[in-house]
Amino acid sequence: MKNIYKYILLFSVLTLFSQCQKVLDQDVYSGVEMDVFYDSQSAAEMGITGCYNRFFNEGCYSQLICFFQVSTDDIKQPIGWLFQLKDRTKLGFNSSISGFNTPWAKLYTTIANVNFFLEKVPEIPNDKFTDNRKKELLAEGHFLRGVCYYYLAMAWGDVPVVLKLETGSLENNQICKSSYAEVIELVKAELTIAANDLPAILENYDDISATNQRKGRASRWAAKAYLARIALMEEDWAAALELSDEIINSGIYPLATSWRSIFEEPMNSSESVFEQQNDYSPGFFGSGIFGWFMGFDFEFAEEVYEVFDTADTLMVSQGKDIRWEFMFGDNPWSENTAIRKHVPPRGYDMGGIEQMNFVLIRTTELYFNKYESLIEQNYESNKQAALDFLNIIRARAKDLTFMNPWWSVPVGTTGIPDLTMADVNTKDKMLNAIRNEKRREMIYEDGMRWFDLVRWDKEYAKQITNSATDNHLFLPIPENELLLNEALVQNPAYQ
Amino acid sequence: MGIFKAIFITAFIVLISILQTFANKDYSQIARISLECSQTELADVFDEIENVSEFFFLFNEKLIDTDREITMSVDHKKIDKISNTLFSEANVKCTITDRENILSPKYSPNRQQQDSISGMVTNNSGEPLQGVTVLIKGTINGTTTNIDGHYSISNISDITTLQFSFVGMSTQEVLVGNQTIINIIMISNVIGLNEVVVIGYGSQSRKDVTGAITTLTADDIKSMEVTGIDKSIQGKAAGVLVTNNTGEPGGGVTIRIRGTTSISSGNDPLYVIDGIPLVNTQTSNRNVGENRVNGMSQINPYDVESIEILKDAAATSIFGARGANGVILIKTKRGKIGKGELTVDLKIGMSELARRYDLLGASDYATLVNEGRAQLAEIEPEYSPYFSQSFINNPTVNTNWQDEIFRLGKVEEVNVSFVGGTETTKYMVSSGFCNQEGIIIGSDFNRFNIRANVDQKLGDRFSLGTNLYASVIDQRRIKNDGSPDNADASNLNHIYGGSVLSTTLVKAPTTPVYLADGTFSNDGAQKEYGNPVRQALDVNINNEVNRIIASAYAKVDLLPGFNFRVQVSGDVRNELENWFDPPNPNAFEGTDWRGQASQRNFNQRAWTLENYFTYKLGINNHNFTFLAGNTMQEIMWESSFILVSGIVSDKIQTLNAGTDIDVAISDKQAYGINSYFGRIDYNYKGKYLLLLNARYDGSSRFGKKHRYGFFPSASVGWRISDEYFLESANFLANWKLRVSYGITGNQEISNYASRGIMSIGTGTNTGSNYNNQTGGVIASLPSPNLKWEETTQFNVGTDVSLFKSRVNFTMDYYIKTTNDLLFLVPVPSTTGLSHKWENIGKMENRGIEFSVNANIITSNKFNWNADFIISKNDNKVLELMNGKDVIASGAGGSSIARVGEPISFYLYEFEEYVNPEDGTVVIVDQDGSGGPPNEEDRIIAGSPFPDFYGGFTNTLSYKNFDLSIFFQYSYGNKIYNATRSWIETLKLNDRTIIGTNTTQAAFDNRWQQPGDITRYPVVNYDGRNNVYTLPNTGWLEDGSYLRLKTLTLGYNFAPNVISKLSLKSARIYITVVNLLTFTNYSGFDPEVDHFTGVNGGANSDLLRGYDYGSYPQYRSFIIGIKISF
Repeated sequence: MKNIYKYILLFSVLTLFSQCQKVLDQDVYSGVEMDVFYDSQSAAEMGITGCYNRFFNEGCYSQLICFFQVSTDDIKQPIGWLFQLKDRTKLGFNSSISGFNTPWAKLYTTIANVNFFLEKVPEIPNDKFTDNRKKELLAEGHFLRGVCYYYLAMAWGDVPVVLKLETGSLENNQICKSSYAEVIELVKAELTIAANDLPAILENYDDISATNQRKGRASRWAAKAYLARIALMEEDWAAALELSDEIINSGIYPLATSWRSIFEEPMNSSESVFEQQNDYSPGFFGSGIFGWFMGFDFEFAEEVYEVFDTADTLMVSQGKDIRWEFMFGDNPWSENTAIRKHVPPRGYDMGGIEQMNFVLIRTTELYFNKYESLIEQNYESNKQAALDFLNIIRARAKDLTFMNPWWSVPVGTTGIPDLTMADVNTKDKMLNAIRNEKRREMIYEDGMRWFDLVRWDKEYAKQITNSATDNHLFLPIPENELLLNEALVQNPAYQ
Repeated sequence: MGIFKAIFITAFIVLISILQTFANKDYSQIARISLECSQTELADVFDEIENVSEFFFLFNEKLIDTDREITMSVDHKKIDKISNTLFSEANVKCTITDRENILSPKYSPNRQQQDSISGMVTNNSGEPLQGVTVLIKGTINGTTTNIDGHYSISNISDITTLQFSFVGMSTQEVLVGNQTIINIIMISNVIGLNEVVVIGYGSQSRKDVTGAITTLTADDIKSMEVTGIDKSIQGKAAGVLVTNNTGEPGGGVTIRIRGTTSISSGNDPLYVIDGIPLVNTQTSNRNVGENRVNGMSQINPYDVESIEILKDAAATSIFGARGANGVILIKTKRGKIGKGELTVDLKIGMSELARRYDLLGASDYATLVNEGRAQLAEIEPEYSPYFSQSFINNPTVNTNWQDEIFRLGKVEEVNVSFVGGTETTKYMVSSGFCNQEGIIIGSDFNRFNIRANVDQKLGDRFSLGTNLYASVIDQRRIKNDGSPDNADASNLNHIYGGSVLSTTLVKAPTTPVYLADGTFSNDGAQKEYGNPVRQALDVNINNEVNRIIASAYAKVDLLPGFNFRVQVSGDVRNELENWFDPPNPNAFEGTDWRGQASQRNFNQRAWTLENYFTYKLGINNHNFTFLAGNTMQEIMWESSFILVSGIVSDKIQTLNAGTDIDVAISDKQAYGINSYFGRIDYNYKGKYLLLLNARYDGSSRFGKKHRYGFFPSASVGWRISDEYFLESANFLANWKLRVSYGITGNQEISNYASRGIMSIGTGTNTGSNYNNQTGGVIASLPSPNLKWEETTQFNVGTDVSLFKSRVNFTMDYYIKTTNDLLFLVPVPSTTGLSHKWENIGKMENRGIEFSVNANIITSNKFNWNADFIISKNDNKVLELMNGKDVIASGAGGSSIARVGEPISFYLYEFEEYVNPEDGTVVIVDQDGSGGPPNEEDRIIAGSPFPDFYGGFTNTLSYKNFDLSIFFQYSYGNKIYNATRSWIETLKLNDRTIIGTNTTQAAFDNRWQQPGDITRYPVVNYDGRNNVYTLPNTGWLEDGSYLRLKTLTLGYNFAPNVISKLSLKSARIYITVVNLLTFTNYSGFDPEVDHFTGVNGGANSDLLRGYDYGSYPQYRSFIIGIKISF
């Protein structure tokens, strides 16, 4: 009998020690540990997809463009969210008021993910990639990082530049600001890598549905389009012209014949160069949050009615310009008229979260770049071409088959009259015509109007935002960031 | 005394030997004695008889005159003849049984003579007590009760006093008088010195305990009509603050043992049931709102034998890394030797809402709406009056939404148990069914459970046993807690709708519940708010839980006093929650009318293995108990959630009815703990006590180099009452001093907190995908140096028992300091994340606990026992990262941790009265900066923790009746009433064109014209009063309360009635729960705590004391009957 006890004892002790260490080594099941994640092409593909997700995620791009748009003369003074943007003296108080810190944080989240991607993917052996894919993937990373810093610089001016994932604690993350000029140089460098390394022809990203795969992702042409925008901003007309021409002449993105096709499902029109792809599941991915506020807190500025030559008080469609008819809609939730660009006509399904793609870059913008550069360089020799372009754009305002879902008006829009040379017989008149047409055409898209306003007439931009200094055109750095990163200095306008 | 003892011992030996010789014959009938004596003292006569025969005499020297001289002569007579002669003249009666002659004084003839007395002894729940000692006072004569609790004693007279005593119970004395049946209800004695106290991996005698441990027995919790063990300890244990989060059947509970010790790392105690550490992973379904499923509600409290609450480090450090928040050890009932006993316990009752908000009727509401819209019409003329004057004068619709959703709830409970055993096999089998219908329509809770506890001896050295528990829970839930606003994305209301109760409060009384065609109305004027009745009745949320908790143990005695025990156990839990929102034909234009369905699955398996050696050793007066062992536990869970939409029919409620899969996600996680522990328990003569504990604990949650932590503790005790200099202090039954110091840990962080993780996929909105491709994003940054949160605790306490333990005091003072707080530290966004786990900060809790128990009256007919408990805990933050405040926001309020302060509310302060000029509220400009309110204007506005809290109980019994009155109280805590903030802000939401309903007080006293001095501001439809929505002191209220928690009146049927029915015992009782509540709190109920940890996000342990549309506590009336066969 005694032996039995001994065996039992021995057995228990053995079981005990063989199990001990095992219970402490637990796997991560639904995720992957960071240090072993990047080991293959498929991991790199997942990584870059995650970077796109962060950029387009709720509160990032879609919220940031609200900041730009609310600052312009296209949106009436909001009573709720972001009302301080119209009076930047009010931004001094408590810059951490809800919303202002979110896009800042989310852009840096995207950058952190890209940084990690750009650090780790080069370490994956080349033979784990098909063809040129490693280089392309890295170029996509540089594109996204460039775009993030572009928007950061446009919104905040001087911002910290982080090019490496910092996993340490607080002390390792005390990073000071780089100047606006330095940031823009970085943006150009990043986009240039993308413009060089991404293929000229949009190849299938080694997957089944060719067209589907390339949608919504970086391309050589999208990189060039951002570079063209920056050139325009820097009044480097030659460069802007060259870059815009390159894209137009590639023939990959012909102007859409129907204006509506740019914003109507299934979207991804012929002229779409860089377009965010939405997701139909609940949440605020894509234009969800943007469309949500367009009509509740954000309404058409009085001026917009004039720009489209329509009467605001009647609250009735004019039936002329598709660009107005398409977005002058009813809001099922409020008594306001809603701004329906980027909002699907079926409306606010599932409690207001249906969304459309955002179009970030489309060929029309590049044409505007081109003719603005040409006119700035030489009015006389380019006036006819510019006039022709404007009339092509205006011709698209006529849409014979448009059925207005909001108002009971006849089918189709009648269109607006062509411009004549008499309307644009001086350089100033021509420039004005281009600027007005661009405003009508690209209203509520990206940060376009704000970027243009700052470029064209900084004093006016300051006036409509009640900005005392140029620095007021940039936002205050979220207070929380200043607390956590003591190397960071507040934008002097809000100190 | 000496003679008495000698006679007894001799008699005992003689008795035994005689029994062996003449097993079947009565000696007194056989034996013949011859005796001759003259002038001999009676005592010598006895000696002589005892010498010549086997007879012996039992008597009390004080009562029998043994000096009396006897002269007599008998020859070959039976003993009865002799005794007749001996005592014929004297006032002495002699009772002869076999060899035994019992002498007792004879009384005067006017008193009735008694031969025997019998009766039954039960505890105060009517259960028979076996083994109760029944003594004739002043003698050693007596008996013990049998398994049915019955006793009978013969040869007593009416001036005899019977003494009933039982371990752990107060001794009672009863004068016999002219009774023939004496039934006794024994009252448990809180500090029974010989009582055995369960401690981790063993037990101790109560008198040797040096740690701070509160023991509750089944009796203490039996009158609490509750669904969970966690709820039942409320107000019963000093230093334990129990707050019901919600009145939802099966809802959650917040338990804080000696304060909040952590900011981010969980504050719930560890529950160990029969040695099995429970894994109550918090689960919740986002479409149910914000309440978690309470794991403790899955265990039937009926099976509980005792609950030990371990509070100081001496008691908890044996649980090491999980001991910092205290440990609750639960022991379930086990079998006992004897014939099987079947007990049936039946309860039925109903419940109701105790208090409601006084809201406006249609007429006042319509007036308010028109007034608000008139404000807007000044700018936007389309805001015409919404209600006509004729409607105001004579409303055609006047819905009282509170009437619509509240109902009389119902409780039904049946418990059956069967207990019995032999020397080798003991068993306890029980089964229970509980059905509780909530006081809000659409909410109920059903539990069915079985338990089998079996202990088996195999030979002398080997014993085995099992505990098996299985329960099935079927819970119908409603979306509760949180905002009524359908657009509130933080609550996922934009997908699942607003919560039932909060919507009820804001819903316009001018909206009917149903349309003429019988379908639910959907008021387009209040698009923000759904129809709460539809939300409760049409939307189905069903949670089914299966839980199995089982273990098996084996124990081997290797050497005398040295044994080895191994136990393997499992805790398995499956949850399946289905949600179905049918198509809504009356959905607003432009919104999706189609239905949705979701399914949540949660599957958890935990196993534990523990091995330990115990060695007991006594050398002279030195007593040692050594313990050494190892335990490991592994927990693995997997969950999934699927949401489909596009459902067009309500006929099929399963996921296949949907057309689109909106969400399909799953998550799988695991963690493990491996530990070594040891203990030395030493005492010298039971007077000087020493306990050393240590545990070396490893957890997979921490960085590889920091997995193991060492948690030692030491405690000493001194039983002063055993010292010679107190020997003469007879009133002092026990006086012990205790001091302890030790370290415990906390590891309650997410399973992979120390690792940098890329999360993969899980959709686009909620995850990391883009354009239908799987993405990976950084979800957490590595924190390889992450380690335990350590709490050191100093405790000094004393236990005093006076007057034969009739009055018992316990007092403890403690200082608890938590170091290396596990903390989600905010980091700059440039890191890519907002927070990172680090060990930063220090917090202190110090407090004092006092409890007293007194058996004020113990008599045969009337007993009165009283308990009083009071506890105080002061919380203080000592260090934070760089000394910076930590602020957590939730439910429209905010709370703060600031160095030098307790965890507090952090709010803007309102002037008492609104601005008499324009009726807007005025925020006190604390920093004198002028302008709009800024951060500096916020103040530390009060603490969610009470200044003191506790309970008091009076238990009275008179004959067969017993009455228990239990009060529970909390004083000085504040509540942030976010519920009221929805209804009294009087604002207009984005998508509504008429505002919320409000309270009569806010309407009647609202500011209306310049010069009005009032607390209630002007109608706020145009947002003129926007600062009203800032977190402010206007919603902060005193949450103190005194509550008559339970009142129980019971009747135990008399034994003669019972025996006629061949029952062992029968009891009938009535209980009222929450009968009276005294409070100044304006909400439904002052016992409320919205944030349960799972829903608060980072640092949510700061967010205590929020009322956020919480399901209120209810009052219930229950009648029950308990029968044993």
